[in-house]
Amino acid sequence: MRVARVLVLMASVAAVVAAAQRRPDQKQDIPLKPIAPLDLPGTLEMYGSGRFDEAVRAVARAGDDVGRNLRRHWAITGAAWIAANAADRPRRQLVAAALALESEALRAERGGWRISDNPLCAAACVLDWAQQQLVERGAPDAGERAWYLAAAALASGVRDARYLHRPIDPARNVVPGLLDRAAMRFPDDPALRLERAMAAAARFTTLIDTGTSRPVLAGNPLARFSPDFARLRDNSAADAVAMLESLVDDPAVGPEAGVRLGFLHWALGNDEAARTALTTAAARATDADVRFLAQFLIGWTDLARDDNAAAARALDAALTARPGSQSAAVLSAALALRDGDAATADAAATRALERHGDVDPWRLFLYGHHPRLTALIASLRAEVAK
Amino acid sequence: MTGHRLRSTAAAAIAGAATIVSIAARQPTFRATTAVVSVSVSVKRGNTVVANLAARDFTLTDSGVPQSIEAVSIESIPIDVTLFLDTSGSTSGKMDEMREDVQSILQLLRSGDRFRLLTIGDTVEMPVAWVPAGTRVQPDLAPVGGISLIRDALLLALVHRPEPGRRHLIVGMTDRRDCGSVASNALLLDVAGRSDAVMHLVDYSGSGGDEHYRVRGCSPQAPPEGEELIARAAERTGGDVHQQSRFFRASSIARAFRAIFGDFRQSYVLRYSPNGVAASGWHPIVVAVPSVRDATIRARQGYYGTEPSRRRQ
Repeated sequence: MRVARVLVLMASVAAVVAAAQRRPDQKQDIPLKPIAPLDLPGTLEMYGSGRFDEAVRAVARAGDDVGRNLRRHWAITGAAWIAANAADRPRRQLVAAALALESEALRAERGGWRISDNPLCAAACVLDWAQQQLVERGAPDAGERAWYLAAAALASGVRDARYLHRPIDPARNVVPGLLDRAAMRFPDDPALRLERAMAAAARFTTLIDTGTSRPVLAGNPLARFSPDFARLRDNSAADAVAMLESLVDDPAVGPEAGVRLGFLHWALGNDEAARTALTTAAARATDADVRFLAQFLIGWTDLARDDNAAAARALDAALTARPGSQSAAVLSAALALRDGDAATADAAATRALERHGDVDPWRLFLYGHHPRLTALIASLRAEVAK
Repeated sequence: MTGHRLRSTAAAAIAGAATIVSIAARQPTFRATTAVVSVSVSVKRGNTVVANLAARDFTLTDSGVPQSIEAVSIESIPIDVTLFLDTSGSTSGKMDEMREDVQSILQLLRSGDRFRLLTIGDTVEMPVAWVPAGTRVQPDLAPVGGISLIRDALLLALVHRPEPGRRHLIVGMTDRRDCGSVASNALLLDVAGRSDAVMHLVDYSGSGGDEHYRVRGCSPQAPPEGEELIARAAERTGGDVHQQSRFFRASSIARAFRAIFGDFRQSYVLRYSPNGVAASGWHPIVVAVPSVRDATIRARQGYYGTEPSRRRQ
């Protein structure tokens, strides 16, 4: 067993050394792997003609191996299809970017977001290529905007916040995150600014379930090695707070920004700031889901500090905003039972269980706008069809 | 088992369903005429249920104070059965087997019993709402990815309040690896101490996760000790955690359920009116059967005395 480990280790070291010795221009020699029976140009034509589902089914039917091999084909086979009609180039670039995104949505569902047996090209590689196509089209437009929103939802579903947002670090020459690049194209767009702020916050709302009454922020394992890492993290957390704070007065996204800000404050241990942000969001929210989230989180924070009466009131308000919502019903039922009101506890639980298929907004809160991915892809398709 | 070991087992494992039946509620302390506590007690020697015990065979202390057992009854009481199937992550490869097992379980119930099924997806689902014994069902089961709302599902099951004259048994088939519940371990333990149900858990893991659903991976991730704390909640109700058979993997849900259900059906229900104890707070209960050597006794570990609700006033 030990011998086998040593052999594996030696082989790994040899592979790393060989890779390091390889000249940069040799990377281009890696041959494309086949994607047959998938016909990428034909599939792009199909997608571009509005036969969206048919095109996506063709990619799905081709299987996982082809799906992974497809990733490097975008920059070659896909690019050749775009170049084949110069007059139609901007439209073709949008078509290719949209289908590339949908193909990565399929890969994500199959657990292959980060898996690549093609060198250096997993999901991020494909989306980066697609984004480049959109930028090359010229001035930002509704199609490009719809693409960013769908891409943000997709990456949030696999919790890849680092791909969406990378804090500026002058000491390191890193590629900006996808939404940082989107901000350069749409600097004043509230929805995209919210997505970027959510990605920034998601780096600090990665939680560890300790089984206690409140979420606990995952520690930064690098902080123990250097105070620089801890400082960088603190600065980044402050940036995330600032990004969300700058949006709370926006008429369109303000209440949701407030809810996200409140949760971030809570995860960071700033309980009073959390309460203020959540209370403001609850008062301003016109959307039932956002109002529910604000009241539910107020109730949860009250429960965590053992103020059961306040928690019960907030949870009741959450259930008024969105009757039968399960996350609030769980806590509300527990509180009712604690007060000896078994009938109320039973009724709350029963109402929640009878809402078949209803997923309340908290359940998927930590996955950004991934629950809206289908709708966002539909919007993107509508832009392609124009 | 020696008498000492018997007492130790009773104290450690402690016991079944304690239902406070308020006769004249809102009294500051329990008196013989103000409240009745009922406790489900399983008495086994090895794998065999010890039958034909009477009230005089049991001793029971409430908060350390010996109590007078007024009545003992067995098994004729109809049962509400909640079956919880953990359809998340590693258990999601056995959907067809789960459907068949659910149908088999429904055939095990007697007339008067009721059944419901809870599962987990992106939320806790109830694919089968309360149905009478013998009903044919086709539960809609689907695997889910990272989210695994085990604590929330068990809490929602525990707060069910059976109608008077019925008992509630919860059997959960789960690997106990929670992900994403809003109910903390502390809250689940608290509810377990207040519930009328007896909850048994069977360690259950399937043939691996479903590869079609990998977005929404688990976060937050529960630490390993969380599994132990969920087990403690079951023990607090007088239930236990059972290991899945290594030899009979097929139909393991129905097999495990049959054993648990059989024991529960034959468990005793002791009733007493608490004397000499405070009304509120946690009441530890210890049950013993001095007349039976080598017995394993399982009953709930106690109950919370309640005062009139102030919550909505």
